[in-house]
Amino acid sequence: MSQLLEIKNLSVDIMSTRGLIHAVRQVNLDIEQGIIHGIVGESGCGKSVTAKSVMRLHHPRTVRIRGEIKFNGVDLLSLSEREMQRIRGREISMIFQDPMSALNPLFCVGDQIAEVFMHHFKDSRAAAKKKALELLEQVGIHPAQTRYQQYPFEFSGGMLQRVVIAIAVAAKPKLIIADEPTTALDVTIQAQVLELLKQLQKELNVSIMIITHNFGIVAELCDHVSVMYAGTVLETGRKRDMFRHAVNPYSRALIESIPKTGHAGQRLTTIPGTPPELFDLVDGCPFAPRCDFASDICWREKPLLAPCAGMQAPQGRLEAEGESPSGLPEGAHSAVEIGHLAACHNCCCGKEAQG
Amino acid sequence: MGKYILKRTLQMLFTIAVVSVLIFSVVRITPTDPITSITRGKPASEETIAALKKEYNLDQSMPVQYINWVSDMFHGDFGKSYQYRESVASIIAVRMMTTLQLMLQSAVLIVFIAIPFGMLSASKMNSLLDQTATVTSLVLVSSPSFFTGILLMLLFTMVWPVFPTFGTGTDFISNIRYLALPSIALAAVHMALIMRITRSNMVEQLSANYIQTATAKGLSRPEVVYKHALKNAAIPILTVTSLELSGLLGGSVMVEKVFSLNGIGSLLADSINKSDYPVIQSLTLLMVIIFLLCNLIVDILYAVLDPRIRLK
Ligand SMILES: Nc1ncnc2c1ncn2[C@@H]1O[C@H](COP(=O)(O)OP(=O)(O)OP(=O)(O)O)[C@@H](O)[C@H]1O
Ligand code: SF4
Ligand SMILES: [Mg+2]
Repeated sequence: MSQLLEIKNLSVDIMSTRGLIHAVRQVNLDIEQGIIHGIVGESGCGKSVTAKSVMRLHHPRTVRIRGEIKFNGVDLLSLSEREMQRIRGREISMIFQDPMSALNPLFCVGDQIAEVFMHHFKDSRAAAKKKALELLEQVGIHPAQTRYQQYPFEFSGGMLQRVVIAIAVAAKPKLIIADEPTTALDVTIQAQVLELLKQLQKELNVSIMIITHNFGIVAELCDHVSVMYAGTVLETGRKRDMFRHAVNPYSRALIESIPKTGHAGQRLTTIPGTPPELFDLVDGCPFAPRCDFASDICWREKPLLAPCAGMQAPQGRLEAEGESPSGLPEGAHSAVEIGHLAACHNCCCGKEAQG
Repeated sequence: MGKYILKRTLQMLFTIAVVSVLIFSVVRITPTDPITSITRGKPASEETIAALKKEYNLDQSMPVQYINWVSDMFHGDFGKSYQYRESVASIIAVRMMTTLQLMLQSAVLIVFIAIPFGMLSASKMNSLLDQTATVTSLVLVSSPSFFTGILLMLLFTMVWPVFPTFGTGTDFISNIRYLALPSIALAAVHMALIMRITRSNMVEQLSANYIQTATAKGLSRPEVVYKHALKNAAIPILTVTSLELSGLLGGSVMVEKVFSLNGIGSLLADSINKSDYPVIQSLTLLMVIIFLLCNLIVDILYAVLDPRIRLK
């Protein structure tokens, strides 16, 4: 279980016109080699800010980053800008939300892909073009020869996102960060683009960190999931464990709010209330104001991310719902082995001291 | 692309034709009698007037006069000045060099100082340099050229006399010094404006999403700024720059007066005073043509830069 990316105690503060925003607060997050790792959470909870910190895309003058982001054991935050440029696009690449504006409107799409080869591998123009043509075919843009010469305005959103994906995979990076890659696309196109990502992930054995609002996409695509709320990670683990045994009430609420197909007319579960603004740091659990299970301790003490596999009685309904993970007996402390971590005072494991 | 250029050129020629009719008519609508201008108000005999009318092509109907004017221009004959009684072409030719050099020096200041400073300002947004540049340009943009000119003259006669404050030299090289202050006075407002435009367009482009993609590819900051952002910012910057450059000829009227330069600008000012219609006509048309040519060049550059225009 080798960790490709290890984010340790990451805090990101952004100076804005309205004040200092603590957008990311002591985030811990590991991404394994060769898997798809989903980051889920409501709007404004710091997903993009975390992703941009990994790529070091924040403006250094207005954004302060603390903590560690280890990629293959090297702390990215300690690298010089020049060293970082060798990582970007080559070792870690990024796919953005809106394909319509992600490409330079004045360069033909082929050249924008070829640029990666010329930049990172010092390929000649001709060699880079040849590779870019192959890549266009690979991401399903035909006929590559004609499409190469065309400009972004001649493409549909879905096709552009394929070009953006081509740019992201061009240098065969080890990690791709996809920040809501399908939010801007039609539903049918979304499925195709996700399918392409999945297929490329297998072919290249790359890790993908995919950011989404949508647990449906997680169900479809991911191996691991982390749930973020108000700049913190509330729960993280394998997808199947998350779907069956999510511990944190917020994770559970997100899962329950997936629209279920075949249940037409059924009321969509939504989480009452809105996420907090991120100006003030809070002592307790950030979800407490919206949480049905909040108790005194939740308001006083911040729950830390710790191995956990179930919830305390009397919320026994979890155990009633699913079978046990990995065939282990119910309630067994299997969380350590399977890497399921949750930040919640309502967890029954590893909390003997508080029990 | 070729079709686009052809279309734009034809449009320009059509505009020139319309404008020439306008200029010709407007000049003639004014109440002054050309003969009075030619004789400078002195009384003249019937025969002299008839002879002058013939000499200056005034004895024919308006449409014929217009056609003569246009066809003469095609043969390089721009008519005869009322005040100097010489061919307009030769008067303009003599005066042209000073004005052309004045405009050239101003254009150099605009293109090679204002634009780079605007870009630097944008890429170092909110730095001390950016803030200084912003304040300076705000001051400059709100001071008219005659004011800047007079201020410069005071400064360079009384405080720091390194540049001559009036007159011209004998050749291009010696003229550079003589025209230094006038060209600064002429360029100042335009420089300030273009610096602001360059800065704001670069800032806008640098915050665009494709810049993030380019950075995420691993490109260096200069590559991102000067390859990706600049090409996009260039289109609006070019538009304004060309407008400003074509306005320089008009601006030279004031600056040449302030610095007592014998250029086209002061010629136009004198000609208006003396109702010297052939000169006014030719110079106005010249200004219009320069303006339209600048626009044509920009239109072509647009198409070169922007595939969305080129491919339509
Ligand atoms: N450049 C910025 N300037 C000021 N505030 C910012 C900036 N970028 C992010 N923020 C703030 O940081 C917080 C986290 O934003 P972030 O973009 O990470 O949210 P997100 O989880 O990606 O949400 P979404 O799903 O809407 O993309 C928000 O409150 C946002 O307003
Ligand atoms: S710590 Fe408390 S408030 Fe926070 S999610 Fe768990 S039960 Fe709810
Ligand atoms: Mg986001």
